[in-house]
Amino acid sequence: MGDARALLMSGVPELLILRLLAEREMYGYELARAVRTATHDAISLGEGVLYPALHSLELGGLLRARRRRAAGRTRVYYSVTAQGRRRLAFLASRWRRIAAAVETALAGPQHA
Amino acid sequence: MRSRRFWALRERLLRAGVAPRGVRRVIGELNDHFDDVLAELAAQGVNAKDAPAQAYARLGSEDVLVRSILARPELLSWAHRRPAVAFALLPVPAFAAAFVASIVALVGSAHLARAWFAVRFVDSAGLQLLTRCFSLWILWLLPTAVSMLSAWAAWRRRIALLWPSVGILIVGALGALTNFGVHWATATSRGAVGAGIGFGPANELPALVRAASTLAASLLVYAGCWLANRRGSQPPRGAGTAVTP
Repeated sequence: MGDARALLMSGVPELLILRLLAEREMYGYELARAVRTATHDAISLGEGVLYPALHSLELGGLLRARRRRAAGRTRVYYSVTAQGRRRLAFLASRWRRIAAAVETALAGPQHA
Repeated sequence: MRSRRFWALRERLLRAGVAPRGVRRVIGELNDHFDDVLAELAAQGVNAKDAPAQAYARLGSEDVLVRSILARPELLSWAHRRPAVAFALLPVPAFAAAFVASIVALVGSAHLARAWFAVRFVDSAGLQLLTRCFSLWILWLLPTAVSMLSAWAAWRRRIALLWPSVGILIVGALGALTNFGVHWATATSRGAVGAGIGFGPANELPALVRAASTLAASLLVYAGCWLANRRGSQPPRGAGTAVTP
């Protein structure tokens, strides 16, 4: 069951992170809250796993990180690079295609 | 308290091969996140006793965190993937480069002093002392420093002692076989600097002593770091273990 869920969720964190950070730069905790709000708590990732994903996307050149002081604390803010926006467009169109195909299949066979 | 919060996770990540800088960054961000969740829970009226367990649950279990990092090879350090290259081979060219650089720096400084300040280097007690200090550096301290640095770098990455020991042995042996000498100019002869590597009956014992001291100092560094880390690894009750939701 766990493996099936992992397979289903494959690529979803990357897509969500890029989508939410494309709107504005955020730090990890802000991003975790944004994921929960945007998905109405339907997708509950362990919030800690956001960080390996963020670091990996940054290493791949899809995100940019910078330290910024806010409310007396220094935080690492992440934003999407131009390469990240292109990747987001690709992932989003792929996701829509897959979602539409699954939706069609769930709607039942269409007989001519 | 904060520094020990994710101690066990930090050790697991280092042993798994995540680069120390990457580990420091992940742990720092997890600590910040944890503090933010605690503040959020406090604002919701959750009592301070229950809040840490809930905050750990929000972050996810330690196993899931480690798995999610290990699933991304780009976050792993190359030194952990190739310890033989990093700790057995790399110290050798590093030592050779430092050896040559030291001599170039000495000769270059002498040339500059002569060209810019018209200093005349004629054999004297002061220059003999300078030669002895430089010999101490290049023959004893340099191989030891390179080996100690290698041992420290290996410990930082929690690399087992096998490959670092090979590197330390090679650098220790090379360092012990090197020789160095300066002949300062006199009224009748020009000065000269000589350095090389070789083994002969005249330098058997000093070479062995030099190699043994390099090895001992490096192993002491590794053991000292290991012991210090072990002493500091007793986490406070309830800390360092994420709760599986």
